[in-house]
Amino acid sequence: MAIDQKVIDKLRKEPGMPDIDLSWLREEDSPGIVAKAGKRGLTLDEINKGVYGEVPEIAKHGTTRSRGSIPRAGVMRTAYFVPEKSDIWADNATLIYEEAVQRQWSSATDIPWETVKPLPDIVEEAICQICTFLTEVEFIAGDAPGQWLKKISPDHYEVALYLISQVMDEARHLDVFRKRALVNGCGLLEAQGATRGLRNVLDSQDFTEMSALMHVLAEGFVQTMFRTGEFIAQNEAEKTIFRLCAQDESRHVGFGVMHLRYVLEHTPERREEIHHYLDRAEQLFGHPTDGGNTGLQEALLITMSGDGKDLDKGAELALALNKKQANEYMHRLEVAGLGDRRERMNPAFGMLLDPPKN
Amino acid sequence: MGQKTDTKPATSLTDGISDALRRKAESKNWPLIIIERALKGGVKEESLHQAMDAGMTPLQARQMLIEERKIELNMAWSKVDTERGNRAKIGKKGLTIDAINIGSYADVPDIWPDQTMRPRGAFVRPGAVSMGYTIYSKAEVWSDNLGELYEEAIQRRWRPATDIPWESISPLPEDRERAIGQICTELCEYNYAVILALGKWVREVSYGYHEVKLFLSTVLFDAGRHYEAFRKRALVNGRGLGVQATGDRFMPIREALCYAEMATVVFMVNDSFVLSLYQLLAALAQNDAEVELFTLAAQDKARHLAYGVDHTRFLIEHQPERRDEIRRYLSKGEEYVAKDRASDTPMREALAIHLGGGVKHIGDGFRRLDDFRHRQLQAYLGRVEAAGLEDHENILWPELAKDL
Repeated sequence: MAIDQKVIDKLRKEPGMPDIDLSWLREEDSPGIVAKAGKRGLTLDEINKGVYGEVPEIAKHGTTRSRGSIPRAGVMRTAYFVPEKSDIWADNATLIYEEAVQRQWSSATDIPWETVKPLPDIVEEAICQICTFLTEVEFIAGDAPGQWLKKISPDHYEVALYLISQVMDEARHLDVFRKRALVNGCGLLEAQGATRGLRNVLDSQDFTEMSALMHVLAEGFVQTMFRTGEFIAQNEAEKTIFRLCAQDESRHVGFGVMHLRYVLEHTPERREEIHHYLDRAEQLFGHPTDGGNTGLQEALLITMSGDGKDLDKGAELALALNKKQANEYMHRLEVAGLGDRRERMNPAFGMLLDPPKN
Repeated sequence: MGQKTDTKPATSLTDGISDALRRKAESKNWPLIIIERALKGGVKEESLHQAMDAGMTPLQARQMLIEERKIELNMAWSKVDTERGNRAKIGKKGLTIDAINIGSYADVPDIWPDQTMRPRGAFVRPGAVSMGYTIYSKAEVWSDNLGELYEEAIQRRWRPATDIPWESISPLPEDRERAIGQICTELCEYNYAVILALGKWVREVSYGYHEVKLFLSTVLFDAGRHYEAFRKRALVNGRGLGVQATGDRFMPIREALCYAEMATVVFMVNDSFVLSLYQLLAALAQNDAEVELFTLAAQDKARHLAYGVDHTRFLIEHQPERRDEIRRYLSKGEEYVAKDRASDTPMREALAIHLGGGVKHIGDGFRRLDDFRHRQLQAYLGRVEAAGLEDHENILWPELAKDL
């Protein structure tokens, strides 16, 4: 015991001294730790040492108690959390969170907006239609992880921090695409309103369902589109937007893939259940009641054609983008351990797949 | 007579695809959308049968359709009735969220009429489905400084891993190290409680008020960063986390049944006391790391409070009938802050040790703590008054009023 009891006893006798307890100073349950900053500074991985790094398989309390702190009796519960680690965990959550904090950017000052010059009407409208769509879907991509935060136990705080970083990223995406739509004289155009595919993400009742649908499928497709943004972009501002957004989306997809892998490794009995979620999501993606998202498809044809004239070229590039999206989706599933998805993928995507490499 | 006949048509009524063609497409894994497009594009049914029998893949068919069909754009999406002709101006602070609030895009209605995910200013066709939001009232969530606070939050981002000079922290006497560890433990929990609350409420705000969602996203990000940074401080210098918080002050946050209630308890009551605490900790910092850490945290917290004050003022100005209701939320928040203080011996003693400069000077620390509580309360009352609720000291929660 480092604090001398005699000192405490003496203090208690001082005139005017309020009641003092100081038992928490004598508490020996608090293990010592000296975390050392590494090459990337003092990261979460550097402090996840000893008992502080022991992530329980089951979060057993419903309070805000931080992992590793000393429990206090009588604390009321705050929430019902998802108890099982395997239901929400990804081993790369800390790495991705730290990267997200390092790579925040500003849509106000990091985009060379001055490079946006007047464009032919048809091209400007197409860009604005794409931005209307993206502004819209980024709302969902922020709301969906946000609504899961209240279910993440502080015992698994790393996941909560990752989800928060995604909410922040999506807010910035919403904002940057809205800004692009309004900077060059056209404005927002036709919104989808809500699509069944996107509602399906919000409606998810299971974290893994939400993550597979949003991170692996939907954001995977969007990320591939962003990475081919050079074919859509008309100026440096748009290229920068797509590059920075793609960088952010890579983290979200990375979390989703590693979460799926963790789930399949730790609860392999869920494999068929996950296939079932994807069956439904793939089928709803581009569901006829959503009108096939004609606005986005046509806008992509126009921008990919360069000037809105050579639509055949635009169609070719759009098809190449679709193939890339489907193949990268399949690759991510393979990395996650769901390679058998190839055989049961919805034909709308399956027809775009290249033959397996081996 | 009276006998049922098979009246099933050879061609489905819905999509114009015959049953035979549909069966073959399904057996060959051809998406029906390809079949539908091909038929609409003038390809004969017989040709499609032949293509499938010949082993053509659906992708080849799609490519062929592209090659053979002259692409005609519908372009209905470009003819919608949205406002055109505005060019947002790039100002000294770049292209800000306020700078794009031009023309009708700046019209933020008192009641947002749309349950869909339509962005403000965009067109949506009838038939779009609800996204299940619950907040459609501007007064419930709005403040006029949202755009400014959002952009400032992004400009002033900081990184706990690399922006805090952790190496400046040298070993401290155990009592002082454990005191700061206890304080950080409690601050971690407060920030986690905010994360849980905002996680619940951000989703409820409809899209007409996207500035609110954007700003709340930054508050979430700040709260996550504060949780992270205080945990790091507790674990960097030899002792670790202390005793769990009582959780009393989190109860009214958890129990809030409307957004305005949550916002009042978080952004007016608790954040006010927390900002004063961050400022105190910056003033008492024992090394450069703590100076930086608590100064940056206070900078963030000041934004949250700026929203809280302006939001409350906006709400009362636009719905004056809710003035007493807001006062009751304030009272409830105050009650639980007082309760928390009374029952949280480790935090009280940790603050006294920190203020006194060690356990041997804890008596002096308690006297300074009384002074701090007084200043903390004065600052709180000033903010309540700035929000448009004068003379609040007359109805301050009695246990808290003792600090006056």
